[in-house]
Amino acid sequence: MFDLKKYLAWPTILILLIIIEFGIFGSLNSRFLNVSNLLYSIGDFLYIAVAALPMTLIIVSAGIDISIGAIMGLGSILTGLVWIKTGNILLAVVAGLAGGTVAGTINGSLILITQVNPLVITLGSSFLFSGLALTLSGLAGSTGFEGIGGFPDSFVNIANGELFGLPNPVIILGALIILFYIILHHTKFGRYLFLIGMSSEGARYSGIPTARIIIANYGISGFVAAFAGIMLASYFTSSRSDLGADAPLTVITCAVLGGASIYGGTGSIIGTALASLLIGYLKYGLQMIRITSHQTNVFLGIVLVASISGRYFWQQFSSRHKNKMALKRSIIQD
Amino acid sequence: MKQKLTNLILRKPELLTIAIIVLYYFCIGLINPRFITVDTFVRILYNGTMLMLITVGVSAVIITKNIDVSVGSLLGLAATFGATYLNTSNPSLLIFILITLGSGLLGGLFNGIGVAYCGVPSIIMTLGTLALFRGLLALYTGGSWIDTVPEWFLNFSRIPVLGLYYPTWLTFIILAVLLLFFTRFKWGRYIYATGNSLDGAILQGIPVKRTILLGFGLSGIMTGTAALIFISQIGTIPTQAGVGMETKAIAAAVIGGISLMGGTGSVIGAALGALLLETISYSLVFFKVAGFWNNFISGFLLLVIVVVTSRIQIYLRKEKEREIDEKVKKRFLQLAEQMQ
Repeated sequence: MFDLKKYLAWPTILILLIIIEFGIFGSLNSRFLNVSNLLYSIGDFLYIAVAALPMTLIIVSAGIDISIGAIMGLGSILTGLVWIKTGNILLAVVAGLAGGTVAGTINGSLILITQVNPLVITLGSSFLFSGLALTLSGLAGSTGFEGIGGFPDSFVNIANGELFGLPNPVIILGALIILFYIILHHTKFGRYLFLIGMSSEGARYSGIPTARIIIANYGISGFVAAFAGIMLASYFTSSRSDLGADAPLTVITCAVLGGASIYGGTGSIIGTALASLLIGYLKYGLQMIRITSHQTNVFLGIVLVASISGRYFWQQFSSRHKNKMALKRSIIQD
Repeated sequence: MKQKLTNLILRKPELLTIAIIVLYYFCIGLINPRFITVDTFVRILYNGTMLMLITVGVSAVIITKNIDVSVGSLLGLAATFGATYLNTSNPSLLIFILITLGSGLLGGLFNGIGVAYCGVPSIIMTLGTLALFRGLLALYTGGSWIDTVPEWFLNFSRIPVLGLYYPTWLTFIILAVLLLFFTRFKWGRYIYATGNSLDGAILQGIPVKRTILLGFGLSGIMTGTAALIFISQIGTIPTQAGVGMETKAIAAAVIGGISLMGGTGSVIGAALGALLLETISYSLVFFKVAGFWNNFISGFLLLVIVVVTSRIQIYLRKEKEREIDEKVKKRFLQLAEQMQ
């Protein structure tokens, strides 16, 4: 029998949506379907796609991290600050990454200490981190929102260069997707995350070190957010404290659109990666047909709400269908 | 005595908030006694009206175990619609109020329908409408500011009545009505029941979907009221109006003792939480702290308050459990003695 269910899995639908999207934008603007344009535009939304990967891990464990936008700013401003003070770019990048990791670990520890909903903690800490980033940039003498610039070519090349004919962002994104795919779907750590997301009590009673895993999870998220912030600084050739401030909404959208349930326990890296491509190219395509970023917001909100409610109605429909089939079968057997 | 105190604080978490507010005033008073005057308090009450109203609205949603992060954008959208009508020739006050409140209510109901009837998790729904409402605002105004609110309406909020300002009295009246609604009316209790246990509420025959819709509707109409005050207090409506209001409101609700697990909290607690946040930001302005420290300090204080109150609550809950254990043990021993 033709197994419809297998082909209507969520990633397949996402791929279909991407193809439809390419078709629409391609017919509206012939320049859209230029392969090198498509590859280079990944640099525009690299920070979203990269940050969506650890966000999937966190949502799978029934948490949420609103502070990634603030950590992006913090990571980039730390890098800029250390670069100005020491002139050693390697040290600067390490400092930025370390700062992000510490920030993420603080999030995780606070969530464990207070037992308060992660939403509240990361919301409060996002004030803290963005305030810290702004303060640091104030101390560095770059008043207000003026950035720290003057980075060496080796740093600027990270996000703007090429390797083997492919733009660096493509390679970075690909490598991270593979890495996180292995972490979530093929390691003990990943399985533990699913268990914690389904029932954290149950996970604790079956001997899983939930505390350590949650702290590590938020630490990873902080590290990757800082990395995304540094990528932004490299892409724009200057680091500012408000880089990535708009990221959290889009990043959560990517993870949820990719099939992660906000209640925890389900989610996949492949889905998230496809969803971030879908949303990234949606933004890029809307820009190409001269639609402003405000109008893009309207599209983004509608896509998010419509797709999630569509999935809900589809599930209702398919479960009703299944029930009906099961009933029919049991009647025949009788 | 200790037992009674434990029970009281567990039942009324807003007492902790009051304690923190008093403590905060005390600390500020030690640094600079000139801060503690009636005038300062009147000003904080005046500045804090918007946050108080929005926090109370968001609390209605949080008590049903949902969340509403779209209020910031909805505030801007409702204020824009209202102010645009005020700029037409010969506007009538009644229609203006209807437009502002109505757009708030419609936005809230839109969220509610998505959550209750279309199965979208509330955080996703309201994150989506956060972007959607902001985008609609920018589309409607074309990215320009509205800065020509008629003078007569601006003066409206600056008339002192019995020592306080007009918006403050309005807020007090709304708070009193809502307090009555949440504690004495059937639908108000439905909101608590739905948040406490969704399945339990369904089994009791409570119309949970309509209750959730009611929660979001309340949040929307409170946001509309806040938009009225926004227009009269500030007088210009930038495209960024209300950005960040949602995070402040949720933080205020949590500080005011409203649990994100649903089913607990009160209107008074929400208002007190908003008051505390407003006091913190006012005191930072009062001490002329450099602007870039502002976020850092308020974020830090926010986390400290959340950590302290949650630790106290965890401690009290454990204390109570131990107490119950001891009672059971005592009773058991008594029974054993009787058996012999």
